[in-house]
Amino acid sequence: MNNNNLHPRILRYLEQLKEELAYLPEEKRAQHLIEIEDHLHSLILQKIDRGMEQDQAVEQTLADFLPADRLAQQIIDEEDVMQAINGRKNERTAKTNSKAIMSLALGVAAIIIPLIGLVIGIFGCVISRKARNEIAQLSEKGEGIAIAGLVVSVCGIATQLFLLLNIYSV
Amino acid sequence: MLFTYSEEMDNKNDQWIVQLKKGVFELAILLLIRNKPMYGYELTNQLNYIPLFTLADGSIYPILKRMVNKKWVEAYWQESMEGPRRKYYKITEEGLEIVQQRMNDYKELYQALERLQEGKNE
Repeated sequence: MNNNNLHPRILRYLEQLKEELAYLPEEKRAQHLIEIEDHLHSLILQKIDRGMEQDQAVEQTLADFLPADRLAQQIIDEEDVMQAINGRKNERTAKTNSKAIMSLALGVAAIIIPLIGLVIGIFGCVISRKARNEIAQLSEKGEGIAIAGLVVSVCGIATQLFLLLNIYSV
Repeated sequence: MLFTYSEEMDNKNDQWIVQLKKGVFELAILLLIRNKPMYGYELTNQLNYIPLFTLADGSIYPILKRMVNKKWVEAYWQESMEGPRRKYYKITEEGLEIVQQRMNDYKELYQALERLQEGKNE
């Protein structure tokens, strides 16, 4: 916003709009303000071209323009609707992370397959870690399964280590 | 306060027009930007040429936002010769489909009403 050239009444309107739009992220809010400022500026120029004094043109423009609080409310309402739709969509379409399931399966295999289970268990731990990263990034389901995968994989490793120690000690 | 019969009718018609306008504003905007991208002020001016679509200054932005959210319209910024950069709105493929579909719906609706008016209800 180039505040230097703005009429004080327009500046006040934009300040009020900015306050009312505080709910929005900074960048979105700035974009709305640039757009509205351009619209107000064009309306004032149009009135001046028709022979109106600047002050009168400003007053008339603001009188015809949607009040800042109502405009902000309408913009925020649209934002809320969008967030609500996206939220529901994500909840509905969120799938269980496949790596989480894989880590659990590897963990079980690590317990029941003698010796090779040690390597499988290590894989299980790594895959479980990757699954939790993906779940956090993509808002997927399956964090519990990934944690279970990690626990079972660690149990598998412990079991196989115990088995190895027993073999060597015999 | 008591309304006379015609005042009351006018009032009811006003409400009916308001509801009707709400339903077609988005379509009118899509039809306007179908040929070339426009910015908010330009769109409001174009709509104001048609008395039925007169829109309070500023009211177009929440409507445009809704249409961007629905992916019927795409917004982009462009440098302007007259001042700061401007946000232009252009129609998307989905928007073009909506125009086609809605225009057909309105035609069908109008034809159905015409048939009823003519007393043909088949």
